[in-house]
Amino acid sequence: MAYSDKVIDHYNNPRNVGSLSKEDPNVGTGLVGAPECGDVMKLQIKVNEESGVIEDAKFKTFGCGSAIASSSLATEWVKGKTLAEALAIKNTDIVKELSLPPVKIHCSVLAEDAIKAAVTDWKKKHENGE
Amino acid sequence: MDYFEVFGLPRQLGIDTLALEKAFHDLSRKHHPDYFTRASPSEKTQAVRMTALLNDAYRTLRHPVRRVEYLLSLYGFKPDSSKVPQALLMEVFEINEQLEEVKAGKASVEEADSLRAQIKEKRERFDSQLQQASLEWDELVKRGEPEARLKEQLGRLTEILSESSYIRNLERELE
Repeated sequence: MAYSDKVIDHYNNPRNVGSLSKEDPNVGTGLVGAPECGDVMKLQIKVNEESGVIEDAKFKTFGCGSAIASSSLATEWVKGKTLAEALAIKNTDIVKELSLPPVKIHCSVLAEDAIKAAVTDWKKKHENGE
Repeated sequence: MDYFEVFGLPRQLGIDTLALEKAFHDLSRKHHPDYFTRASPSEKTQAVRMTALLNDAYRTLRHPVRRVEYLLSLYGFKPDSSKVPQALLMEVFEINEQLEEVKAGKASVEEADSLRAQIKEKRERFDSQLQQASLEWDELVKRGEPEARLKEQLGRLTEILSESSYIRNLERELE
């Protein structure tokens, strides 16, 4: 199975690889995994408390090229978005953008789950303050 | 016909693999398409179908992990990403990060060895958990326990199995 050019591009030049401090109250961390293939994906967002906009995003994924590309793309997309806008990103958008074949759709699902988990984590940290 | 039925076996996980191999060879001979060259077209098709089924069944049932996966699929159980425990993900993530250091030559020999030992221990724990839960399943089936109890055990097996591909990937990375 051949990877699309966009997958290869993200795989070779992943955007926003790295990590943000888990302890930072403005950072939300999502850690998700796909038991079928054994991939693990960590996606973190840094949210501006005033504006509610995602200022920064980082990821680190141990998995196949499609999982890396999906999470790389997800960090690109969430940056500059509000939490609500980030939550509106659907795995099907990722599938379309990266031209993922059917057997790799679960990678995009994982990326969507990672965004949701990161937002949930951030919200949990801010439950008391809001 | 499911894979267990192909070999006339009950849906149990403890399988004598030597007996299975023998049954596979006997049945393969019996249904070999070569013996059906002068048979009717429908019998020929049947022989080819049976041979393919036998191959799939044997390949699946002889392997202890694939055997469990198959049993679970018969009952509609499959690994669910929303049920992977966070603790497992965190551990796997950490081991992966350390593996990266080892591969980049940034880790000491001791660190590399201890990582190897950690992965080996995970593998052994997984194997013994799976074996134990498989034995329990067989006991439940033999005793004719109610469906609710059987489903509970299938859930347990699914949970254990969700670690399988993580461990396999870590071992592959280690090579």
